[in-house]
Amino acid sequence: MLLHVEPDELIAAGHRLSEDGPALRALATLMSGCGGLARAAAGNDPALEGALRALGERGAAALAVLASAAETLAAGLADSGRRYGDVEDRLAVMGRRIIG
Amino acid sequence: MTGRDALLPWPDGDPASSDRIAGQLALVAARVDDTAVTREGGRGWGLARSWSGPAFEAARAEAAVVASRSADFGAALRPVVTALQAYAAALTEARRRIDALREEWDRGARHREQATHEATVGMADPTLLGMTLAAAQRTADREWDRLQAELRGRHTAALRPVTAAGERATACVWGFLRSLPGGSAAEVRAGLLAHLPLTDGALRLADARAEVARLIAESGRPVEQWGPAEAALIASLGGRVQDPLIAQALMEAIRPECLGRLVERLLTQAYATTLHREESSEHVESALAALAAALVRAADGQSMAGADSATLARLTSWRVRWLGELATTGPLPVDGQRTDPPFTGFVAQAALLDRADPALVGKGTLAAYARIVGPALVEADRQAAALPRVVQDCWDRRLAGDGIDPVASLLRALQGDVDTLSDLLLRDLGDGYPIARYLAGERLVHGGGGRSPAIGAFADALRRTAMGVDERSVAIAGAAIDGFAATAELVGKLGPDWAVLVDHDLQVLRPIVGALMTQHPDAVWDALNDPLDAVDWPEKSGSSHPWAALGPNGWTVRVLNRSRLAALIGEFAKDREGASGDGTGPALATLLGALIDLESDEVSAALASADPERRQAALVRLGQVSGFLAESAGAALIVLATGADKSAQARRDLVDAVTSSLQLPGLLKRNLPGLVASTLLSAVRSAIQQLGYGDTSVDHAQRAQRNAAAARSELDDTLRKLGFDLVSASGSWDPDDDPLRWLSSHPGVSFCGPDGRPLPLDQQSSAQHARFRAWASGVPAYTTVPSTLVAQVEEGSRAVRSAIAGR
Repeated sequence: MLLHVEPDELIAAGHRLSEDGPALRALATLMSGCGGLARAAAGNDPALEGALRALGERGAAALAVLASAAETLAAGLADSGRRYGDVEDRLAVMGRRIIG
Repeated sequence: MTGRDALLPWPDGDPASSDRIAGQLALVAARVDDTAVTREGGRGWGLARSWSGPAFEAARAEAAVVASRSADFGAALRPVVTALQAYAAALTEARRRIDALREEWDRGARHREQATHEATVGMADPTLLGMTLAAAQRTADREWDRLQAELRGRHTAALRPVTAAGERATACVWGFLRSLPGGSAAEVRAGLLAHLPLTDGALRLADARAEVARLIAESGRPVEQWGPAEAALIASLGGRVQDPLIAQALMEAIRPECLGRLVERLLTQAYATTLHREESSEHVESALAALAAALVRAADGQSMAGADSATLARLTSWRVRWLGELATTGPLPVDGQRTDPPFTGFVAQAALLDRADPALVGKGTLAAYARIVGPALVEADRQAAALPRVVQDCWDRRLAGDGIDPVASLLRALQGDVDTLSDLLLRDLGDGYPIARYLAGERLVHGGGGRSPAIGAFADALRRTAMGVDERSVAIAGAAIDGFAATAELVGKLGPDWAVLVDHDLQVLRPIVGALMTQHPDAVWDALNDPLDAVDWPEKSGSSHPWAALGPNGWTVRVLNRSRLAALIGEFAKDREGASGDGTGPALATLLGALIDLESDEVSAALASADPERRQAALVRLGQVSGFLAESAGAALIVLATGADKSAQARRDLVDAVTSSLQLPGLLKRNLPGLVASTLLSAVRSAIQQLGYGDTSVDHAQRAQRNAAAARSELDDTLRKLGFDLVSASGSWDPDDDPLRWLSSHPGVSFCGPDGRPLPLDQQSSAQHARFRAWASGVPAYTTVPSTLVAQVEEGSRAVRSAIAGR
């Protein structure tokens, strides 16, 4: 099986993605706040009020899931990069031994 | 509220709130689209330039799903933003228009008042004034009524866009909600997870981490400082630690070095409370049980069976790293302790393994632990300056680690999992030899190691893993036999004092190693007849083991050389704990029974045949094996007896105990094989007794030598008689020499049994014996067979003597 890996790139990608999780969690909090404003915004419109409350609740749940997914992905990338890097280092050492 | 406001009310909705919601949702939509995963994952991922392979494909697929879901989320939210902005705008516009209507209302009211006033300005005639005033009033009222009606109509019209905008906004919000996979927050979460399988475990792990984080926060101090004070807190996890993700989160939080420290503190508290009865150790034991369950569940590779492949891959990756840390930190003393032996990470792990609920440890549960940590744990035991202290009961404990034998704990934890146990026993240690060989040999004589719990557990493990005839079982058996024999050989070389010193240690494994050898009796002759008589094993290649060989009848063990075989048989001769007659007899008798089973048919057939070469080969083999056994057993016993006690009675007791236990196990056929077995066993017993008693006063070399020679002479006589009986039982004579024919031509008392063959010598009367000797003198087999047998017995004995001398 052929593999092509540049560990540093993986670590950098993991680092880039690492900000997504917290950002999405903050958005989830923001979205859940929408439900609190539903009464004021909808006034005497129970249909709109109910819809806005559901929007806050379910939207926040969806964003929390996406946040966890992004965190997992970021952690996995960074971890993979580190471990590929370790392997690369070890191979380099072995190579030196073989050559030396 | 005035009458005007009641008649021309503002719409109920607050445009500022709607605007605020719209603004927040707009921000969410924009930011969701702007995450790195949405930007990069949605475009096939630039990482493709620097990463390829299956792991990349898996990661890319995961990123694509997250990106797609995020993009969908943002896209579905935008119409909601627009609709809410429109709603807010409609509200604002309606308010503005209603404000205008209210102004008109106010103007109309003022106009109504002014109209009557203006109509009567300058009038002096009271009658005209009254008429004019009434007419003006009526006109003003009519106009006012008309204006009010007009304004109410326009108010209704002004509210219509608001209602329409509200309905549109409601519809848009429901449109967004319908794009989510569920009718509630829980359903949305579950529905999204169904499309994001990778995050199922991750979400649960996040929850588990949060739970453990709460636990740590509640404790009020870092995990490094945890001790008995946190016992109740840890115990409060209860059965939840059986959730593999809680277990993982807990083990992540309590890193391996902290785990050792925590267990040591808890054990110290538990023993202190046991000894001083100061307070209940209930929470401590519950906490240890919770940690044990967490250790087992976190190590269990099958605990998340059924989870998606990405979650499994992550969990496996974490587990391998964590087990590696357990293996690395395992040999290190906790907190740099200087106790002897120190409380190490492995001792802590062993204490937890001892407390693991057996119901949690199924087949394969500890496979990864055994593979990664197991060899390091046993290697630490091999390198340790002192073995774990054995305690008789809880009152005998002085330190937290007392009575905890990591090797024993590991073997016991694996006892229900033969595959994992076998795999562990065949793993190599630092000396290049497998664990089974170390435990069967070096470990026995390492500071009284034979009496430690590890060896009892190892004996049990051998019964489970090494009694088969498949390659793996035979490899384990061969390693154990070789380790045991090498140690026995070393002990023999070191002399009688050492033999006595480690006698009890070796005794623990004599029965099971004897049973293993009994499974492969052919190895005795192969080693005895091996022309190479190698000094050491060749280097093993790959997974093969030099002591396991594929012979014509399947896999069998190999003994390195005659010296090692003699040492092995010598140890079997010292076995004094086996019960006779129930198939688990003492090691030497059990092995002898197997050898007889192996040889008897061939001996019987060879003696009955007319083929002199075959007859010779069978006699050579039987004789040499018998001689080797007798000499090895006797030599080992005399070494032991010499060192055991200077008093004659003590020596007699020892030898009598051994010889009285030498009974053939199980049922043997009552024909030639049975005859051979019982006669040979008698011979061996006699030899052991003669050689074993030795000198009854002092260890005098010349006396011992004379006694040994006398014993050998008696053995020769016995075997010569055995040769006679073998010839008689097998009917190994020409038809012309038939005893019945001879008896008919020489009338007198018969020496034959009902089968027409001579009775065994010890069943013949003097008269029968005399007539038997007269007949047998003319039958060549009665001369050649006994002498060949005796010669070969001597050959076997000589092989032992040269092997021992060559050590």
